[in-house]
Amino acid sequence: MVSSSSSPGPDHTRPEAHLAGFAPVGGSSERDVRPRSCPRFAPGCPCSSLGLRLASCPPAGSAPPAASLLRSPPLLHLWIFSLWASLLFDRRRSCTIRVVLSVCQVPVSEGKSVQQTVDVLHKKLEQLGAVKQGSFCVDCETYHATGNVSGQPTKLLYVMHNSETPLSCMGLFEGGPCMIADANFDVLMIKLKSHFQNAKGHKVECRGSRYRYCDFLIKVGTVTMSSSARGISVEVEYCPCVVPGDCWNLTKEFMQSFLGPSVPELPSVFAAKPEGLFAPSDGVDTMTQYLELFNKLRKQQVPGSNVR
Amino acid sequence: MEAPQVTVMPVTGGTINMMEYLLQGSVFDQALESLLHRLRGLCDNMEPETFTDHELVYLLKGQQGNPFILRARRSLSHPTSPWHLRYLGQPEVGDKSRHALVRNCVDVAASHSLPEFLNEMGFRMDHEFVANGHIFRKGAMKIVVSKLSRILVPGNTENTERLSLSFLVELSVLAPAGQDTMSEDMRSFAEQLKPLVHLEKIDPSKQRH
Repeated sequence: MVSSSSSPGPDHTRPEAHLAGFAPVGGSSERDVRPRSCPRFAPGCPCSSLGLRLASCPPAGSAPPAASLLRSPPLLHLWIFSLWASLLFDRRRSCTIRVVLSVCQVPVSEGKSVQQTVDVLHKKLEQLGAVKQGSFCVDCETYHATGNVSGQPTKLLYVMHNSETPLSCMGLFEGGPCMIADANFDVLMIKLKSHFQNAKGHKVECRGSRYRYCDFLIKVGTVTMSSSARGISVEVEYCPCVVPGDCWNLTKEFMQSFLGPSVPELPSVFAAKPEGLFAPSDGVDTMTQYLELFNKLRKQQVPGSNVR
Repeated sequence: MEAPQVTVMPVTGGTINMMEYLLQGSVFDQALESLLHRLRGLCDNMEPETFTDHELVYLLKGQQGNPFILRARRSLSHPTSPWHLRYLGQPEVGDKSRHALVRNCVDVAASHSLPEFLNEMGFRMDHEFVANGHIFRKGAMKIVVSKLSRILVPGNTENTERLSLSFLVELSVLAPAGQDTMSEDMRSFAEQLKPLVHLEKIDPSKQRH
């Protein structure tokens, strides 16, 4: 039981106290135990719906000792859900809470083509119980600045689009500032053609299917450049949470269930922030991950890459 | 939490070419109230909106030709609203009997990282100012009556100095290319504002020295 008289933690009589990771007053059943790494213990949570207890969940019947919660930093108590418009201009998406945890490259299976490997992933997701929900497309165009002083490296401007936010586009400089704008930014880049040349041969696209599994959104795509397949990308979102540090373990375990050993480490874009893993994530982080993947695949020479 | 099915692929350009039709004039400060009174009567039945905007004008100097100009504008009265980036082309040299100035216009809404992004692209800020005043609407026409103020310390929008003892009056319409009947409608509206203000076609390229 948690005494609220002198503790700095949340008041357990308030409705959101059940999110704070400790058992409410009088609750002693297994259902009342809130696994520390699971931000939401509810019927829709994969902890219960996967029919297995994830290794990151504490053993059944145990609750974190109240004393340790009182001593733990306030951040651990912040299992709160926030509605947050991740991108400014897609009004129909403004109530979606999302963080993209991981965009990773999946190696093409031995003896199989890109398409065959993608089909294997689709089958695994369907066996898990995921439901296909249409398709997606992420693309990236590269512009070279023409007015550079000789001796300095050419500045590259990337303009990216994501079908999740069809009215927006994003301008990025690798390692530099980025900007979210509406679709007219493409028209502006056409007006700027004497100052920024479009490297048409460098356009990279990632197209594929979207799957929904409980609170997870999974997108398996084939990355193509100049009509040749360069690799496979998998994007996994845990929709209820915007803070990567709160759900990375959960998402990693979920990815292991269909990717096997190919699960990546935490994307560097989160670790690079001043606030680290506990800064809220947004669409910029998603697109930065895609850009890193596209640049990596652009430099790779993939044998037999003409197979779609 | 159900995500709607994705049926719209990303929009990648190919939008309609928009043109701005423009007439400009000015009134002395003393005549402002009379002008606002007449505009309230002529324009759509709504309370005129007041605004306070901060505009920065950026130049990108190329290897040849005139510099590329972009105008970035943000609202000081609604600080969380997106920035508005505007490109205005050269005025169309066409029919001299056309009553309004016509030029290509591209409007882009952008996030708050716009100034840093423009700097990274190579744009440099040429000048900035604060504009505050009133906006009226009549159908597709927009009438803006604004006072421009010079910013004394770069970036400090609190410390400003009025540029003149008058208000700038602009009558503009944004329409797809080819709709020349717009300038006729604008001319007949401008007639109703005489003699309070004379709105005319002023070519900005002829103002440079």
